[in-house]
Formats: sequence, C-alpha cells, structure tokens
Amino acid sequence: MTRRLALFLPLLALTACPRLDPMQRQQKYKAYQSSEYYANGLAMRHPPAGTVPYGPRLDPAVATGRGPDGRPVQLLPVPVDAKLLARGRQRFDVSCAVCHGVLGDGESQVAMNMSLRRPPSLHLYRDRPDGYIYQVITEGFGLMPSYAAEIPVQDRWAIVAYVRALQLSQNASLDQVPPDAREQLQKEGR
Amino acid sequence: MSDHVEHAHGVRSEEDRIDTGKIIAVGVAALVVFFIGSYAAIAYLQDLRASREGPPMPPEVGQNKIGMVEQQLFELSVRGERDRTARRQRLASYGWVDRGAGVVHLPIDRAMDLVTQGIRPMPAPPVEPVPSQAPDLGPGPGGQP
Repeated sequence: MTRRLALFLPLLALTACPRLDPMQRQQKYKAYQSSEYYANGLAMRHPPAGTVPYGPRLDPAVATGRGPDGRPVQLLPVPVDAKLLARGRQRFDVSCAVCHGVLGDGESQVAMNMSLRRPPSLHLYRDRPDGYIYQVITEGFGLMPSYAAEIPVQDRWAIVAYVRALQLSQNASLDQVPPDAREQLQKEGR
Repeated sequence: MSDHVEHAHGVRSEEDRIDTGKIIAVGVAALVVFFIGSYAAIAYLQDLRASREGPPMPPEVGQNKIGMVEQQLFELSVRGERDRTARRQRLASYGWVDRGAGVVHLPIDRAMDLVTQGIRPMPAPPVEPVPSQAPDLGPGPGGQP
C-alpha cells in the first residue's frame, strides 16, 4: 500500500505542473496582436521615421518606381525572369489575393464584405505603367494601406511582374494559345 | 468437544482493515462491464439502423433558399473555399472570356512564360483619365482616391 502511494503521489504531482515545456508560452507579441503600449493599439511597429536601411544603395527608379522626370517608370527596372515571377506569385497569393482575389479580378470574401467600396479588379489597370502599380503597393491607395513595411522592394517588383502575368492570363488573344489547346477551344462552345 | 474458538490474539477487537486490492478489482470489473455494455448497445443500435431505411432526403436540401428562409449562412464556411477552388481551376486552364472578340484566358504558368519573353497584356479600355503625374497619395496609408 505504502509503495503504491509512493508511486502514485509523484504522478499526481506532475498533473499540477502548468506546463512541462517552458518555451511553450513566452511573453512576446506575435504579428497582428494588440498592444496597450502604443496609441494605435497594434504591437507591430513601422521603422522609426528617417530610418536608413543598411545595405547596398538602390537605384532611385527601383526604390521609388519613378523615373528622373518624376513620372512612374513604364517598365520594370529589374530583370524579369521565371524566378522573379514565381516569387511574385507566392507574395501575391499571401498579401494581395485576400482582397483582390486569386484571379486579380476583385472577387474575394473580403470584397464581398466591403460592398460599399470593393477592392478593384486589377485587370482594369492593364494600361498603367509598372511604376504606378509599384507606387500603389508602396504608398497605398484609397482604402488600401501602404504595404512598404510588409513587402520588401524586390518583392514589390516581383508582385508587379506577376500582376502583369495575371492580366495577360485573363485577357489573352487566341494567337497566344498553343495550337493543340487552340483546336480544343475552337471545338468548345462559349 | 468444545465449540469455543480460540483466536490467535486472544480476546480483543480486530483491526478494521480495508482491502484496497478488492476495491480496485471491483472498480475495474465495473468499468469492464460498462464498456462491454456500451459496445453491445452501440452494436445493437448500428444493426437496427442498418436494418431500417432512413427517411427520404427532402428535395429542397442544397437550395440557397427554402421557402422564405435564407440558407446561405450555413454555407458560409464552405463557400469561400469552393469559390477559391473554382478560381484556381480557371487560373490553371484555357477557356473563352469573350469568343466574339477572340479573348481567352490562359493557364498562369503559360502567361508567366510569355511575360518573361517580354510580352505585355493588351491595353484595357480606359476606366478613368490617366493622371500625367504619379498619384499624390498623402503621407500616410488610407488616403482617399
């Protein structure tokens, strides 16, 4: 009997332990958590005003999306390759598709909830310069806040490149379709 | 022949001992009986359900509105996922957007290949006048267009 108690009591004592892993719960903030220490109630902070990033100096057109004349650059100032587009696709799906939809057509659950001022379809901006889209990501537009703190410069241009691919994918001409797929389309009804 | 029984400890009251082993054995036996009973009841009910035909499915099931009652709220949890799946399928396939105008949609991988070759999307019909200057969006986020 005494031996059983001696075995049972340590096991019972273990149940009183609030957690066995001290790393499981830590006093730290995670993304998007609220905080009482800041006026806007958010734990996430922007870098202080005037902060200078440590790294190689960026070409002004790459950093701002504007040319020497102050207008948005017409074409991406970075080389467009498959790697950049793949990165853009990944970042678009995380940061942009939530509101603008995975097709970029402005159809999403968030858009349904914003019935008074829906996020626009990105296909309406096919004729805008690449620098314009970059500036919208950087500075925000309308109800869309700036994403400068969340998306680094290179990723912003990757998203711009992917938006161009998205616009092309939903508004292509028949001669951009490979022959075998074109035959299939011709057979289909509308 | 005497019927007097001699106890080993003489004339005194015995110590009142609780047989813990027996108590645990009774508890375990009760649990075993409970589980066997539960299992038998479940098996019996499942057999009963299998032998009977279920009620017919009402034809209204699946409709967005039954009578005047909106059923959409119950579908909210799956609607987003369903719509997203449909859009992803469109993003990965060929199809017509406007057959009359010869406009089609391409799989996104094909469109990405074309963009790497320097091909740009066709210009859109203008929705608003294009500003000659870049938009002055104000110092902070949320500036109204």
